[in-house]
Amino acid sequence: MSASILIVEDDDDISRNLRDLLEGEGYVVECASNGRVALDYLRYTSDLPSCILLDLMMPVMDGYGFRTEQERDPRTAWIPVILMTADAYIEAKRFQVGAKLHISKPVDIEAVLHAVQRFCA
Amino acid sequence: MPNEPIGDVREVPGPMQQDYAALIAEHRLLTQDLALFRQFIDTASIGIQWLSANGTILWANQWQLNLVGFSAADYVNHNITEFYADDFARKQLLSALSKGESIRQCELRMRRYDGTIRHVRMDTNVLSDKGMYIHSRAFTVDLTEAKEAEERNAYLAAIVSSSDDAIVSKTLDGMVTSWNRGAERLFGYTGEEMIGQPILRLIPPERHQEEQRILASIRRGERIDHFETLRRRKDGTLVEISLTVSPIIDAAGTIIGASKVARDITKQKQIEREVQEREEQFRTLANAIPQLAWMADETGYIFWYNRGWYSYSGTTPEQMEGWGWQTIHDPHVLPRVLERWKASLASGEAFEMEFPLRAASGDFRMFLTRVNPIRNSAGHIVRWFGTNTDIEDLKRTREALSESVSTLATLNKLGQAISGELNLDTLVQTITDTATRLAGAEFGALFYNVTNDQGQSYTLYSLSGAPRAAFAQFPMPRRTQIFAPTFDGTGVVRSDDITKDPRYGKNSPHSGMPPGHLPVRSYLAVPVVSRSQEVLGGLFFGHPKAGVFSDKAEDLVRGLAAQAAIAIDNAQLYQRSLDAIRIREQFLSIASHELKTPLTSLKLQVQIRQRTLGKGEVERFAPDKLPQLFAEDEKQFNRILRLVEDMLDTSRIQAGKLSLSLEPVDLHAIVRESVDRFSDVIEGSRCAVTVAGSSVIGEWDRYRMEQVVINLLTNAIKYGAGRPVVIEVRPSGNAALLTIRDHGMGIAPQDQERIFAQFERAPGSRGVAGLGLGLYIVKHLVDLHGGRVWVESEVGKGAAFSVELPLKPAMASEGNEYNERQHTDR
Repeated sequence: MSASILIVEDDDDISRNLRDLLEGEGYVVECASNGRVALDYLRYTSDLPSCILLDLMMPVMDGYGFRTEQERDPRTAWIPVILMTADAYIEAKRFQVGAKLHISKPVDIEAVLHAVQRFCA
Repeated sequence: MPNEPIGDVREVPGPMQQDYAALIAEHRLLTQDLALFRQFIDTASIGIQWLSANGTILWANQWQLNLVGFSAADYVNHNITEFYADDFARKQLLSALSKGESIRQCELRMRRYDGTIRHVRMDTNVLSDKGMYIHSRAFTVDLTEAKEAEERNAYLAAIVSSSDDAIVSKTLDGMVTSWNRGAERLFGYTGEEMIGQPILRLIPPERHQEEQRILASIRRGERIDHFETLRRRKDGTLVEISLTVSPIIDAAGTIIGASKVARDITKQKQIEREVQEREEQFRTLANAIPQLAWMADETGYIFWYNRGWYSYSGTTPEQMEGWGWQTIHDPHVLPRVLERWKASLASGEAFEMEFPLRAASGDFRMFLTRVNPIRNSAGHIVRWFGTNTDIEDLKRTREALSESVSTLATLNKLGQAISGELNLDTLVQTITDTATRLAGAEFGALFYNVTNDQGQSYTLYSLSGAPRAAFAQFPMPRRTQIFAPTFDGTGVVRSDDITKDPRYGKNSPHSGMPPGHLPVRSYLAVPVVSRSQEVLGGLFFGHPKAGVFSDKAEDLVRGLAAQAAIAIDNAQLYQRSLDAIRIREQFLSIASHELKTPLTSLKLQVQIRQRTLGKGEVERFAPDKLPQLFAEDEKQFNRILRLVEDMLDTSRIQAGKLSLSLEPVDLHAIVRESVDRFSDVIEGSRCAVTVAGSSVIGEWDRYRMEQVVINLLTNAIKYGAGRPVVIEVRPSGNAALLTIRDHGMGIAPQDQERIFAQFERAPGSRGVAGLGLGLYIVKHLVDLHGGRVWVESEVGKGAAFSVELPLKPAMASEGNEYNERQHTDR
């Protein structure tokens, strides 16, 4: 049973590339284009992801909003989150958001792969 | 004298009794005569005494006893020398007595019982019987009064003799009877030469009449005092003298002559002439100068004032003479003036003082008075010359200056307090509080204009002395007659009582202060105008009492308003700088963020391919797959490029360096081409884009037109919410009209202005990719072409962006100039 990863990212090209990368490593990948879509997916899926790659800046509902809701729901609160963002103050954001790790954009694929290996078992 | 009684007659025989009786009778007679004689001697008015050869006093009469003041017991049998003071006299006496010689007219000093000395003259003779010396008889006369009189006369004579003054006496006919040494010195004639001569000898012929007049006065018993005249000396030279002549009256009261005292006053006269000359000089000078001037004698008695004095004070010489000047002094200051003047008179030191003097009009003006002593050649002060200089104007200037200095100092202190304050809110409150206090107002307000970063302007106010609640219910003061000058920045409005001002109460609905307004009677309003003549606001002050705001208050507030303008300007500039910095930082933050997105894709793409290669999975790199890979990369490159170009364009626009290269361009064709080029993006957005209209050809910059179209298209797609987008190009008069209509979220009216500003994104677009420069650039490019761009939209009903472009943009051909003009506004 392959681990499943949820990518929450508004840029289609980035999502596509990440999916490409992770599926190539044998992961099952789901993409959501913003926080709202991601929450909807989590609510209705029976196959919860083992980890979430989360972008912060998204329309409709951004990363912060998603995290607040995710933590509220005991069903989803446990899922580890890896932050991906272009923001300069990423370190502070990591703690704020409660992510396990952060990876700065433009992301390095090795970093992504290591992070996923570590947290998405 | 022995005095033996004769025997009783009855004891004598009878016949002899008659003779005896006759004898006795004769004896009695003789005795009576003797007693009489004795009494005569005793009571004679001359001192008589009998002295022995060795000086013993044998007998003295009463007069002699009175002379020495001793009783007989204390005098008789003493030696005569005991009673005489001088050794020589004593010796002389004794010698004469012992030799039995007479003493003639010997003057001696006799000592009385009390030690006092009396001058006496003594004569003696000798009583002898048949050649045998019996005793000497002395006769003594008291000369004391006579002596004293003699001495007095001698003293007086000595005085006259030794006097420096010439003292001369003459008869009523003018013949000289006495001539002292002083007269000899003064006139050069000796006593011998003048005594018995007529006094006329001394008198120059032309003055002979004087002598007649003098004698006439003398005969009447009158004195002539200090009569100044001339006399001629023996050597012919003339001498100025002061003459005092008095009648000489004898014991009977008859005028028997005249006594003249003449004093040489040549020197005195010379000194006087010197002083007069100086007075004359001073008088001349004093009448030529505008100052007030005067002369006083050594007691401070002013005897002359110049013309300036009388014309200023409007007084007469009679009023002013002596100490009359006190009447034109300020009575409050006069005591001090007198004190200092009297001190100068006493000490001889020059006097200097400032005090007010009353003009003819009754007003007081301030004068600087200087008085200097004038000394004669002997060094004594004989005059005081004084001047009073009008310093009223100087005083006013001084006062105004000191007022200005104090005002400046106050303003300076305030200036320092407010100049450092860059926070606008704190600043305006400080200004309002300080100004209210300085003006002496009960309440004050500062109305000031702020412009937000959207370019909208509105008025705020800060209050002092009254709570905000007191004003909150009232509308902003409008441009009425009272308020207009302040809001227009044309001038200061000051009223001692605004309720009585003709401009007040002219406007409805209240025609004055609205009910419930704080009571205002004194009113002061000062505009706050910046260096560039922009009205930044106005300071308003009120007080319930009338007439509270003085000139000084107005000056202070004006000064403060000037400083406030600068401070507010600075605070606002600072704020704008901070805003600009913030915007720039935001921009940088957004820009780097935005750039990282395509870079992320690019990096992922490259790294994934590297990894794939590394795993040996070469199928991905089959020749037919390569174009796709490159297209993916190109897509990202273009995204980056566009972002960078937009940033550069913005920079160029701001620097005024954006220029156009014009050529004939078909706008419709550009639209079609752009839609084609962005077909994949369009597809991705699921907005169906339709191109409508017809060809319109104009002279424009092709590249920039593409930019305009693409930016507008991108926006429509971004905010189009997947609904259809229609782009239309059609001619409109002398211009082309391009319209892009979407059916997305729409733009609220209050944002429609804002969106064309730099870095603006629609609210709620936080997460939407893009720098927010698109519309800013579009507006500028359209402006450069001489066109205009606008939007019509309602929230939820989509937006329609319209661009109108003149076919031949006349202004654009001026190129850079237009750029520059555009950019100074910004």
